[in-house]
Amino acid sequence: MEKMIEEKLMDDLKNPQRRSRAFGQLVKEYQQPIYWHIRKMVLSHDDANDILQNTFLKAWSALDTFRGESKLSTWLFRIAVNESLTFLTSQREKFNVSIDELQENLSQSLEADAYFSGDEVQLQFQKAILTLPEKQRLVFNMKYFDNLKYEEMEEILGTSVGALKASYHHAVKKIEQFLLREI
Amino acid sequence: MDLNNYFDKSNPFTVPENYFQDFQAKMERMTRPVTFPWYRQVRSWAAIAAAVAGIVIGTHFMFPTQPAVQPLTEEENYVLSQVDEPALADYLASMDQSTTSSSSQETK
Repeated sequence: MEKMIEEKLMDDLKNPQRRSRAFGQLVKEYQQPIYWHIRKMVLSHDDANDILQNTFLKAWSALDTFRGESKLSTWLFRIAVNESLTFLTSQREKFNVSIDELQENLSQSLEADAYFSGDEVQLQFQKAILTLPEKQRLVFNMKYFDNLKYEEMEEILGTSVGALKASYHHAVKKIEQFLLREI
Repeated sequence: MDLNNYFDKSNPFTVPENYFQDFQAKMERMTRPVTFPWYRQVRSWAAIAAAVAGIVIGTHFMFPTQPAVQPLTEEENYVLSQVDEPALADYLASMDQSTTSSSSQETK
């Protein structure tokens, strides 16, 4: 989003009379990138839909505390990341399973997902990504699919650029090893 | 193996038809400001006024106000200043004795 438009949107969001309309614009602008980011983390459309809704409702109720120190997109991504990680943790606790078991469950449900249109190679690729620890998966998705800069990722995840680069490098190595074994 | 060349980065996930339009409409409904018609606003103000009146009246009955102590008149002040405390105590004691003796004579 252009800087001028973003500044106008921020002003409107702070104005109680124009807030609701401006928030509609915000949803229109960012719902898709944020949805796809969440979807790649939780895989199921229904879960992604719930998390996306929570993300925007949290943003709506926190508008008064948003000081505009970061970009709106960074702020929304940060909320979405927290909501996704909280969801995955709650799933583990709810079903009393380990991280590996949860990843195995996600992998199986992906095969039966009506809203997954990938071929066999893409399915294997998603399974390989699922073998990564959650935070490393976040880093990999943001860099590989969303093509975010490390500086933007640093703002969203609160992790230094050096650590993010190392994390991405390890993620790529792990995925390559998995695929060499499986394909 | 180079991941960037091995896989296309096309999105393998899909969403239900019109999902994003529907989601946006849902969010607009959920964040629309709620405006009440005038009679509902008047009704809520009337309810608040009735509640306040109830509290005020209830407090009045539960904690009745004590009558204020009347200040002494100049004349009373003068009389009291002329009498010292031991003399007053003696006077009151003698008054007690006389009333008890007169009542005992009446009973005889």
